[in-house]
Amino acid sequence: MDRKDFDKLIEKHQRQVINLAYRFLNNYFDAEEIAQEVFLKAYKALPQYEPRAKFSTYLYKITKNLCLNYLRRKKLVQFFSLDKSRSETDVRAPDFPDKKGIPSRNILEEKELKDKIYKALNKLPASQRTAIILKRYEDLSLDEIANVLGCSVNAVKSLLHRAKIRLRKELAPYLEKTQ
Amino acid sequence: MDKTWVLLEKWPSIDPSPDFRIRFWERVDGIGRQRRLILPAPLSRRLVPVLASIFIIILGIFIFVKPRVEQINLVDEINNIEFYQNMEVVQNLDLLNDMEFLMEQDEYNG
Repeated sequence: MDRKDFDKLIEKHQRQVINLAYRFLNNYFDAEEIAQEVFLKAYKALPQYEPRAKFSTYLYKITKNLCLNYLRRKKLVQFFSLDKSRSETDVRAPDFPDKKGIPSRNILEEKELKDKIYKALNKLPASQRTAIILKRYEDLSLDEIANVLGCSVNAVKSLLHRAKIRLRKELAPYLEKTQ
Repeated sequence: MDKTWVLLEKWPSIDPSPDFRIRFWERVDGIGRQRRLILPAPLSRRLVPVLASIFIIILGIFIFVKPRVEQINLVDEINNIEFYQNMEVVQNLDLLNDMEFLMEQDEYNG
């Protein structure tokens, strides 16, 4: 496979990979960095790559592993750090201010809700979080999720079910608001 | 349950930056600037006070604990010297008795 072909693959999958990393990290720039790493790993591993599943599934697998490793390291660094104030809501993603440059009330509420969803997802165990992100945001089939997580379809169903119950509890106040 | 599913949708997707692929190929060619993901700059800056505290504690140990150890060693050394001196006196006790006897003899004769 030459550069042109791989470039086409990046073009095809970059959005999914960046968005998957973004759901894990809640940070636009870190998500882009992880996505760069994902494609670099895939590019370097191309000679050994054996297409057993979809290429996208392979990319999702790498993304999930890199994101979870990154979060573990970040937690470790934060543990030894004195300032814990910028831990979970350290969002540097481009927010969308209104035309005057002042974030409107709706946008602030949206940002708050987004942070709450992220925190609720972040409270889930890694496997439940991955399953729910892949299902809800990437619209993957149960088979594909099972492939990414390296477990059976039944296990994925169970993970999704437990994740939904926990999310419903965590997001209960917001569910009432949005009714 | 569906409401939770709908609520998750309120977190919108993002688009990749327009130069994403360009940056990727620059990185492949080794000319791309790589951000440090393990220790982002603000975090490494926050580690400075922690490292400084550890350095001060180690320095403190050297300044306050080491002289005490030296003091204890000095006391031991003095005790040892005194012990050997006493041993020497005990060992030479016979000689000392002889000397006292000779001195008494001298006084008696003289």
